[in-house]
Amino acid sequence: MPSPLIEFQNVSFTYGGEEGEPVPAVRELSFAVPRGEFVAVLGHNGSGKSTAAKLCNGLLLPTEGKVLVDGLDTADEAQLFDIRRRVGIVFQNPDNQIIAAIIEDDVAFGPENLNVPPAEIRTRVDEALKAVGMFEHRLAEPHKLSGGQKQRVAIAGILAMRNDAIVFDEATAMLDPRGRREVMDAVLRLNREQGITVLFITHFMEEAVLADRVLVMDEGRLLLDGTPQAVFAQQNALRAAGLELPIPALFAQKLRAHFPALPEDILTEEDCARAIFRLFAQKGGNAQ
Amino acid sequence: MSSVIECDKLCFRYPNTAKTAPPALEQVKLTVERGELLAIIGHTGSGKSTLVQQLNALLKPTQGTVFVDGKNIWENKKTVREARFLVGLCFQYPEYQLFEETVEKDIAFGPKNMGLEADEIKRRVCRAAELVGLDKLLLKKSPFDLSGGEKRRAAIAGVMAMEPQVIVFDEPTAGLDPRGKEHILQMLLRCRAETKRTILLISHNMEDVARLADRVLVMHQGKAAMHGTVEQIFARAEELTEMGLTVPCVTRIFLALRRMGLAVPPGIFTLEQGLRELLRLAAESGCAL
Repeated sequence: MPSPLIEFQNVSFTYGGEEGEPVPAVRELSFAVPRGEFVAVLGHNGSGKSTAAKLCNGLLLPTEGKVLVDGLDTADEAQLFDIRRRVGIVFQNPDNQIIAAIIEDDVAFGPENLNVPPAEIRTRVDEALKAVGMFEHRLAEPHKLSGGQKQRVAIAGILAMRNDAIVFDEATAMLDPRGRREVMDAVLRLNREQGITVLFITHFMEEAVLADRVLVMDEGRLLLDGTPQAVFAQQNALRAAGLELPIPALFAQKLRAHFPALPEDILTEEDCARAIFRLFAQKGGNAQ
Repeated sequence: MSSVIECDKLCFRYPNTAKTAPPALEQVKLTVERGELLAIIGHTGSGKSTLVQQLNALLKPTQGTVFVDGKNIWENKKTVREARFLVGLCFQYPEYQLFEETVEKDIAFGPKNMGLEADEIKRRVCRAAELVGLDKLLLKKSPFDLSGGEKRRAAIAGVMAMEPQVIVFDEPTAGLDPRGKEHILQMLLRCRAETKRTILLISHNMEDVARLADRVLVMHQGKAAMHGTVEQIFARAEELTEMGLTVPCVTRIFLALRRMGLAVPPGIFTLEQGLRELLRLAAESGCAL
């Protein structure tokens, strides 16, 4: 059986506080992400999500336990280069991640550092920009782009390194609805068409329902792990972790008190509309 | 006169922009009633932020007038200064603007600049901290030792301590987790109930708009494209969608139902309305539930 692309084995991480006070951020965390999976990570601020993200490619090293990327231990400094070629991170603030004056130079920065030959860099940069729908902006200046466009450029920068996995650390938090949709569409496409493994940390429940699998973190621990249907069925646990149901699920729940025939596993707007329609179409049929 | 803000034929063009480029604001007419909560929606670049900066004289209109509390704010230097205190602006990510040694000093910065007495400043700091739900113990701390949500509330308290008649919140919940968002929304509701102040809320979150606002102003390409009650605005969901705006989730579900051929009205924007509507439909189609 192939090894998972990212694996946490009983990982704990404690920040050394300023006054020597240790602050545990991640506790005994174990999970494995197989190649090609789209995993959403939910949890309130301070639940350890961002720390977990930084543990994925050795930006932080576990205080206890092990993080393996494609079988390579992130604590082994000799492997870090190979680890970061596999797993890249897109951060929250679109303005902090672009360093070059022209978009295509920024995307080329990674492969240049990997000593990729120039002709190959050209191919990779073009492909990466096309994959996120930013090719026509390749000669633009970063400050002229919207937040969603900047985040897509950051994604292209990782794609140009031919990474296997991308970790998104609340990459949509600072975007407007249009920017969020652009980024989400790009991420879904990369996952489905190119098999890029995705670990998507977010506060938006409607984004999490699009994943194959949802992890919920609370107080540095893994609280829930399952399909979106299974996780969002655990309403009480979610509420205790400071999270809420996606609105279509909340609406369906409210309706179910009066329309018991409505199915239990409604998560998206489409699910909800279709289920309501079916309910009335059937009723209409019965009434005739 | 009950309106606290009145703008007429407001035009604004940022200096050094190409003559051919459209102005940032074009012929905006706006009336804000005293005590109302007006949501301002529109996608990035539609003129929302430019508009609110006209209201407290941070930007000077190229044409048109702004009346706050019955006075033309550009009449003289005194009216300009007054406008800054009458209308408080709480920018996006206001926590980036915290700078003082302690939370208390940071909140006191505004009232101090207004030239108030020490006792009055103290009263206002306490009141503002209470309104935003900041624990008194936090007042002596450095703002940089607070959590993200607390920092945001401390920064908002700094604007509230000036006790302006109108407070403008630009995306006050952006970037917060569900709990942090709920805190801020509750704070807005409390501030409104207790102080009867006028609130302008710039938001991309239509669920929040549906839940909190009395009326909605839709900005589009520098113009006031729509202005009306929440019901009136969300009944025009199709037009909003064409402008690239979102509508509340329930509104989208009902739009989909209409497309499928179910006889439901437009302008459904809360879960409660949605439920009521479906119950009505069930009763009408004459079938037992």
